[in-house]
Amino acid sequence: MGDKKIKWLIYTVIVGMLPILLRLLVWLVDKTKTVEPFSAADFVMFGLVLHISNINEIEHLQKLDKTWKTVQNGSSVVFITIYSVFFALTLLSGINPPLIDQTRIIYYAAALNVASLILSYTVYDRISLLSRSKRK
Amino acid sequence: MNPIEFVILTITTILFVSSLIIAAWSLIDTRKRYYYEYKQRKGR
Repeated sequence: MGDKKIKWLIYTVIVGMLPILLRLLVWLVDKTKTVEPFSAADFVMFGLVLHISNINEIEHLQKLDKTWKTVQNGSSVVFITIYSVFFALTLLSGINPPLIDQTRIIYYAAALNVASLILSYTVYDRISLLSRSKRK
Repeated sequence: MNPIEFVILTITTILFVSSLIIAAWSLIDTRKRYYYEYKQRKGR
């Protein structure tokens, strides 16, 4: 695994997942079970972290193919928009519970997180390979 | 399932499937474009 991919895994994926992991840890140690094990907001934040880091990495590399850059940037913008909608729905469901089920938003956000993780991996795979081929 | 949930489910499904297609395309394109070049330089 290249340098860039390891840095991505540690700095972006693990740090982005911290809220999810910490909530789960607190839920495990909490005897009263007042804390929910999962929250849609944590999944939304993880997705946002992944896509913002994608956009940041792509913007700083001039050597990348234009079409690929456009597709990746475009998909990141779409994902950020949808995550923002999810976040708004999470807030709205707190005010008006019959509007949307919180559990469903958690499932949808988690499913999108899997897709975001795969997309982010493809971005760092290309950047890692590009930086390795430049070094040789 | 209310209309809002249906719309969100539809958008999530479309986005999930399309992102998998984009990811596959991106991986194939990366291998085609850079991997051959990288291997060649490594062999020199």
